[in-house]
Amino acid sequence: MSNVTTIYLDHAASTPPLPAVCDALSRSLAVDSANPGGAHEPGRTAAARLDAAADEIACALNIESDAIIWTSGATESIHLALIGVIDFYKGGHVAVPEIEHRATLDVVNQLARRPDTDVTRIGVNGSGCIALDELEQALASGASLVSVAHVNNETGVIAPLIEIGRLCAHYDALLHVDAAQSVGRTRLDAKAVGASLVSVSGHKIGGPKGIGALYVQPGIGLTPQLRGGGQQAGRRGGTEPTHQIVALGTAVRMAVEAGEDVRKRLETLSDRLWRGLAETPGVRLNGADAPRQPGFVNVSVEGVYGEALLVGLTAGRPGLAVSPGSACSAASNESSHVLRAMGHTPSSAAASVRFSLGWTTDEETVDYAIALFSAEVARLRALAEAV
Amino acid sequence: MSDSLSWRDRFLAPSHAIESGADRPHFVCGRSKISGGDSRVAVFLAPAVTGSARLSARFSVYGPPVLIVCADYACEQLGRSGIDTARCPQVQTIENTLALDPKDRFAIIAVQDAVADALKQLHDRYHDDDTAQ
Repeated sequence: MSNVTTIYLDHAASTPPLPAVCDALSRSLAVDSANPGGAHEPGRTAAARLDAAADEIACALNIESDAIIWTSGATESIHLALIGVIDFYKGGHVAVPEIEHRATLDVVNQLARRPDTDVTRIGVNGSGCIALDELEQALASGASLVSVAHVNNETGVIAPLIEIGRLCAHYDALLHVDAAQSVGRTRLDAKAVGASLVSVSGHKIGGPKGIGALYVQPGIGLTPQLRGGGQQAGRRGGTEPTHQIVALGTAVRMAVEAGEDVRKRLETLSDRLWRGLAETPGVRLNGADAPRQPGFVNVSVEGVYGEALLVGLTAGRPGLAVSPGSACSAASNESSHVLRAMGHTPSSAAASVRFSLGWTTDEETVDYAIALFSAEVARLRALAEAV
Repeated sequence: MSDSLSWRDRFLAPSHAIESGADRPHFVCGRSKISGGDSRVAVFLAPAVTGSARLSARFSVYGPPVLIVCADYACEQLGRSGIDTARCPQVQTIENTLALDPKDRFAIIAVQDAVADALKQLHDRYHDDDTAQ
């Protein structure tokens, strides 16, 4: 620990690539240099690598492997899913929980400006659980496309996809699942939940940045958003980055294979972290009453200013690489939209920290994080005591 | 603590925060709030030693790191002044010394307001004491 400058507890933002993934990526980069669209042996070899990676994702999500579109990441996948469907069907009605990732909300805000599209935002309760009655109302009033994150990227709260899928099926609406945080960690059976579209990210699961995937159920219309070249059956132009796709396939396979072991390990470490943080008075676990994916510990802290807490935690030696409720001032009203949707005030949402654990986390790092957090909260409260 | 302390070091270990056991009635206290937000700063001033012309300056802050850093620097400078000559450092001086971004000027102004409030009370107290004698 003495030589370490930063304790990395921001795996939900990006997980360091697994060593085996780095090996697979560099090997493929060196070997699979041909264009996978090439009508020759090296091209066919590269294309076979893409097929193998698609098989890994198909196996993880219980989907058809030839229904996968490679993208630059979950942001592009979500963009393609939502705008591609709305474009194809010449408008529609999108229902989306308020707690979605900005990658979804920004696209939905764009769609809301179109004359052919309506948008309904669905609320959540204090634990971050989606209000299914509101969703049903939206569906009853004509929502044709629902977009939901399987696991919320701030709190780790798991969406009730089975119930949401049932509602979508009953009202004949399409369901898009943003699975950026959950692939290989929290089981997602796209067929069982009735998901027509699923977005996947590479770098959230130990794969490389710059690669993602979108599953589009056969028969669902989708207008391409990136044209030129005709790759991927015209659904997304541009030469496929073989090495990144190979690495993504490796990361998915490893996440699935190690799934239960990793889950138990992260559950133990998350419990240890929360128990330690909770010893400081005035600390509350966000999403405590909802099912959560192990590895997420999002806390709000009374009596400290959010930005000061974040800088205090990150600037120490070693500092913690954690994410805030928001890096922005509570006064600017830009604190976490997720926590505000859950009923937090802007100040309380700003005084929040997301610890997200992963394969590099161990008991020693968790204990250090607890000690630094406790000391920093006490220091900032003392600084504010007489004001 | 010297002027050359890094911003980070001054935030992590300010040397002029008021201690919880401080004899607060001994101090006068000037306060200021950041408009539109919930940040606030208090500056405490008193003679360094009873009867001394030197100042003891302390602060308390609920707010962003830049407010803590500015308050600590202002108190450091006030502590080098005599009661009659004490002034809050100028905006430009604080900005340059702490290498602050112009967008952080709100913190300097809040500290200056708190210092001005504290100095006024300090002078009133001493003026009242002189009158009483």
